[in-house]
Amino acid sequence: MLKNIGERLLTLIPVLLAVSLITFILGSMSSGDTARTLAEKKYDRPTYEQIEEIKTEMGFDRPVLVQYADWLKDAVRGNLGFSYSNDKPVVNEIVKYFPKTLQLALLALLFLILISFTLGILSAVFSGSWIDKITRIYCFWSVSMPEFWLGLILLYIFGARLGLISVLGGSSMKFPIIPALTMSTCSGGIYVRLVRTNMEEVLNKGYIRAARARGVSEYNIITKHALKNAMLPVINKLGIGFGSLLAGSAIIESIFSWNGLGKLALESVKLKDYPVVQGYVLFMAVLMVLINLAVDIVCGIIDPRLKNG
Amino acid sequence: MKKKCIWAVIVSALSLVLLISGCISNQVLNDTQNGTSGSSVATDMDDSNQFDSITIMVSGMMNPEDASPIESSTEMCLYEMVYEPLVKYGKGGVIEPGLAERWEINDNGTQYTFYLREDVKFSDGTSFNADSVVSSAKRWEPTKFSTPLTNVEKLDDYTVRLTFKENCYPVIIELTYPRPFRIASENSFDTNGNFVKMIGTGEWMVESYIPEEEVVMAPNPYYYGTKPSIKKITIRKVTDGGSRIMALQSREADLSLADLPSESKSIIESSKYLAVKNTEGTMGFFLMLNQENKILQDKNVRLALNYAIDKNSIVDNILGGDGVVAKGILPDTVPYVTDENSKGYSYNPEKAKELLAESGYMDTDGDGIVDKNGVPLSLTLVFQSEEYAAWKPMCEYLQAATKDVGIDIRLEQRDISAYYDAIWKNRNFDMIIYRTYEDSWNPHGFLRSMFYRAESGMSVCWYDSQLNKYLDEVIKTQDESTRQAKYDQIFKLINDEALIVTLCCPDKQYAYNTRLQNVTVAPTTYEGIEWQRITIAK
Repeated sequence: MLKNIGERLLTLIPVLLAVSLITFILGSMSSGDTARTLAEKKYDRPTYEQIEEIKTEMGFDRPVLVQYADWLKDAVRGNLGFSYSNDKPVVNEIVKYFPKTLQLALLALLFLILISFTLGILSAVFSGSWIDKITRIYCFWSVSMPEFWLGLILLYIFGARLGLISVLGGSSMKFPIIPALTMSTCSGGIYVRLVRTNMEEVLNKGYIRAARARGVSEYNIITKHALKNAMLPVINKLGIGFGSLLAGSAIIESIFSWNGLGKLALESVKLKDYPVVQGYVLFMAVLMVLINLAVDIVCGIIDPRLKNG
Repeated sequence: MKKKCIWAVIVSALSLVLLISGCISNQVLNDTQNGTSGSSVATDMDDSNQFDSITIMVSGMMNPEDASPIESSTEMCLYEMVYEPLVKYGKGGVIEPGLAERWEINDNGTQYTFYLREDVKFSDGTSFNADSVVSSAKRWEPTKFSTPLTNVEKLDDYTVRLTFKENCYPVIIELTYPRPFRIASENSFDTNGNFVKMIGTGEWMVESYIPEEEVVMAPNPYYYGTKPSIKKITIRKVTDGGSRIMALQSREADLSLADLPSESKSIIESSKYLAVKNTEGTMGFFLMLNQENKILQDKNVRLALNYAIDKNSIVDNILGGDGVVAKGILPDTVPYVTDENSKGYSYNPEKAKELLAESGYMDTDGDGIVDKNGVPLSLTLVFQSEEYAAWKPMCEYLQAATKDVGIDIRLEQRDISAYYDAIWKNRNFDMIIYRTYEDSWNPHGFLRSMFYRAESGMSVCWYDSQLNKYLDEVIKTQDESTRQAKYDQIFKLINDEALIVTLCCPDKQYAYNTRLQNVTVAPTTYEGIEWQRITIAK
């Protein structure tokens, strides 16, 4: 097990190298001029000459690979650079904003588990019934509905109309219940279908029929025998889903004015604040690898056959 | 049993992380407040509806800990509330007393002597005097003025003299800018000269803040002017336009300094709790033309484009009446713009067709598009709708209107970065919709930024040697009538040569909660509202 973990952690090195290089190259290829953004900060209404002066001063006129090599040298020493917009160390910015995103993603994961397991199990057990049909409608609706749209609708209903949550968001919202609900509702459809399919498959297995023949109660069959076996693929998928919740919260954070890492990344992209964007992407890559590792460990605990596989 | 324990551990760990992350979030924010900024813990949202406090919304960066008077990306309204200039920019561009009661300019226009107010204190209780100006001026970048600042002298405790390299009239206007020439207390900086805290002589001071979320402003107890009737302004950062309108609807926020989505107009109009303050702005929308394009080098084509557009229709149907038709490049709310020097072109499609025919453009193949030597008159028009939603329907209208006179416009919508790259980097457009600067940057700053070309550089909008000469001359004028005559020449040249295509000038609009009374629009956009005048209905 420890050897496995060590090997997985070693794969982080090429992953991070590739991710950072791709981000750097894409950043340099994308439209937008960092030099102009910085010149606007310094001169408010810069001229061509002032923009060129910043370009030379910051070394943006050097080849991309040379710039990348310089960045990498610092990054290896734990220095991800300084934000162009506020001159603060990128590492500090990530550490400062991440807890808010983690809180939102964990709450969304909790809702996602509740929604997917409840609806998935019910629709599998009562296959073909009205519950199953309504769940199917929810699944279609969920996968086809844009997250920002639902976010705005929920903000309007719970914030502007009912006054149950603060529209201004931020610290006036202790727990991001509605933002988390928005995220989990929008991604719930896939998981509900996954739970349903796996549960249905397991419920038709011989050992379940045998259990029924032994007179084991339906409740015990579902919770003790079927669910545990149907859970493995769902947990795998939920792991990836948690990563997506962490990395895909930018729009929701922006709509609900939740000061997390996603909102920081979105604003950094707009401002061409590449050190922050680069730091964010690297951080998310590390998180993704670690989450996948954690999922494998959990799956190994649930099903010992996977421990060495 | 063992597995149950594992599950219990996993669930407990998840709950713990959830709780801890919530606590860490708050801890981090509180630490920031109590850190270098020395501010106290931020406030409750419930306060926003009290009778002596209001909540306003902005969309830009909000970092008071970073808001040095010299250089920052923090919202301009914060600067205006905290730091004061030596002179202020009043309505119609009139320079009014600020921290200086009066000032004198020497005969050759290089020395400005400021006589300072003697009743001013910074918000930390320290006195303001000539030393404060000298200490602030030492931090200014001398070359950021239109002509370099060469010397700052204290003549006595309340008199200072600024000497500039050359005679250049805009320096007095540049002193009114929200940054970088405002006066901050020496205590705003630590012993190493690093910025630590916003301390100014302005009407307001920072009471507490959460970076990038909210700033709570309280009246400066030492302010020498009229005391505001409101006791607290909470400035909230709300980046999403839809969320801003909902915050107004829910009455959590009282006023938005940031733009609201154009589609929300009907929501504001139908709400009994909301109203809009409209005032004529100092910004105009226009089409910038690419000088390198051979077709656009023909003056008749440029004139035809101006005649082909019904600007009244744009104002009525696209701006919903909230604006005025643009005659010249800048609206007549800008100093030195007159009806005489900015006559503009009225809608006359027949005249446009005549001009095109005069230049040899005829519709030879009957496709509705005129051509010359077999090449159709086709131009690309680049736009973006992220900053100004009205630009999209406006450009679609332009496409239809110019087609009526035989000009084919191909619309290219770009994301905001690619759009600005087109203007400032790669010149990848035939025509591009743009806006003028606002307030105190007009007209000198905007015109020089667009049309002026230094020896080695290039001009952003259009280069004309005569115009370049005028722009050089006008900034050296100290006499008002000479300056007006020079600006007459400048505006007339831009108009007569049709160096741009004028469109319209949108109004400045602020949506607010009707519980606010005496909402008065300030002379500049960066000031926004005259906060000291606002009262709250009981």
